[in-house]
Amino acid sequence: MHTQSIVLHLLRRLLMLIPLAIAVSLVVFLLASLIPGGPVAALLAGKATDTATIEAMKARLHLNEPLHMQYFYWISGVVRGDFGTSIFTGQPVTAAIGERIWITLVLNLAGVLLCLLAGGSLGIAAAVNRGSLFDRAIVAFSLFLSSAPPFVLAIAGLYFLAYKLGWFPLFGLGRGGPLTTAWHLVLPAIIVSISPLGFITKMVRAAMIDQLDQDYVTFARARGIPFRQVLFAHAFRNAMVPVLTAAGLLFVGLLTGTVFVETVFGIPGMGRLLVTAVQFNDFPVMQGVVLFVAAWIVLTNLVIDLLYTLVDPRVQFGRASR
Amino acid sequence: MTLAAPAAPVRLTRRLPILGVPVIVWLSIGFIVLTLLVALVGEWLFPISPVAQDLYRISTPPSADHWLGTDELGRDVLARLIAGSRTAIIGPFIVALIGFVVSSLVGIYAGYSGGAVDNIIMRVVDFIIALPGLLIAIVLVSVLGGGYWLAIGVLSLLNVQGDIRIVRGAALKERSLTYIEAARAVGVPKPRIMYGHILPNILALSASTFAIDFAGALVALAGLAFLGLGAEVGTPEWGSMLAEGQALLFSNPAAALAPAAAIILLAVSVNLIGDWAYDRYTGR
Repeated sequence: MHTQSIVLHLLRRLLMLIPLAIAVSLVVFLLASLIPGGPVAALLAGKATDTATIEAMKARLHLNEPLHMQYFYWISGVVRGDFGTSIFTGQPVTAAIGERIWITLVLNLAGVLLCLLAGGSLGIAAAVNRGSLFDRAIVAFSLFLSSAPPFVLAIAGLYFLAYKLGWFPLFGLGRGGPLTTAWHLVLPAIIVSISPLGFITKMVRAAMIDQLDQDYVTFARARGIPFRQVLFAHAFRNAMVPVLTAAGLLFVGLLTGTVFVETVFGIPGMGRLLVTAVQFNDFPVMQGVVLFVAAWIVLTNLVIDLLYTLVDPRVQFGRASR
Repeated sequence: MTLAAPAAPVRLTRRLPILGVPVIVWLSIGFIVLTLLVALVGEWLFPISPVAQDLYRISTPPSADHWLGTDELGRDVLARLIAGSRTAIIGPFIVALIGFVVSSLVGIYAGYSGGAVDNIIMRVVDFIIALPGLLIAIVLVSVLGGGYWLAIGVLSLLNVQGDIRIVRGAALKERSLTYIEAARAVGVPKPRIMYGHILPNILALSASTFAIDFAGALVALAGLAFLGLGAEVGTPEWGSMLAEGQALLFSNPAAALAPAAAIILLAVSVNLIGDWAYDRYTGR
């Protein structure tokens, strides 16, 4: 019965995604028509051409047809995995994204893991020593971190850790095997994980304090269960639900930091791809990246929603889950 | 390790209150007032123009003539920092103000009235949340031709949904409280309940979201400028100063570190005040 309700819940969530997907794709599609002069101007990129060429171009892009037909042509391409080709490089957008998405994915996953590890430890430590100077220091530190923009952190990290101290490589991904690439991603991943660290620390601290105040913790202690076990096996497990929400937000929120970190460190990921595309009005690439990222966000939220039930079986499918 | 004593929730802002306001919040207010003063009169008081070029001293480290050194065009970094304070304050203020006004009007209405209107508003909010905020901002600002005011508009548009969500939740909670029930019972008209009774009661929450919006918009606007979007080329703006200063890290690090410090200090100050206001709202 439980499995059945999970499947039903999943189906319902997937059905709810359809209108969302249509709305998001519409917005992304309309981005191209927002360009002053429309897609043709972007395609020409300032080059002068005769009317015949422009007309041919318009016909090829279906620009003479009504907007809803244009959307239909575009979306049917997207469904088949065809986002068009980059104006700037001539490369198919799907290939350009496919090359880069792994780098961003690895960077993000490493950032999320680092952030959860560091933020989790700091938050638990602060909650256990609540009210102490140590707790205050952690709270102050996390407030400071959440106010520091990622590009500031990236530049500071680049200057102090990579240039002054020489601990990390300065730029790009290096030329070598996967190990070299991984080594070049270490400092960027650390930087990416820092901006949301304050937020995660705060969340974990609040969630842990909430649990430590519960009667079951006092009772477990009274029964003589070691504090370490109470802390991790009991309190932390129950504090996981809000932390899981935070982790989901993190996976999505880190994308912003990634744009800046990739720009500062010259890492060829999705963020850099978007920033370059934006500079050249390369609208097929822009549309592709935004659509990919939107799908990323929606899917992350879906996965988090489903994970809730694994952590907390009390979560009711259907109505009460929101 | 021992179990922590169930002490009263101690927070950073509890120490040494003056007039009921913690010292660290006073310090934050002090820094914001200082930034405001600098933004208002700094340019007249400071002798060096933010656009004047000292071509004999290009990318020099701090000296007696240029306290924070010069940038790659020989412009005084301190003068540009002072001139940039105006851009740094106006944009985020507008974004936060729009967030406050719209969330007060729409959020309270949705939370208090419920029903179909609430449903529609929340669907729109859900939709905006599904969009990758800053990426959309990057694309929209560049596609529409860039510029400071455009960046402010786009950020306001993307920022408002979070505020609506928060205020709606708070209004929903207030609605079930006795004082609202009492007001309804004696026949107070609906608009007055919403904006005369609920609004003042959640004002501390609105103040804290205002502060968080301000800090967020400050960082986002600087970020857009950092990517070369937003503020026009040549305008003294902290984010663009940072982008330009990045190339000078090895000759005059102050050109990058000074605007970075300014952004962080202002954001920390505003966030501290927001935190304090939020604690006041939750009443802990």
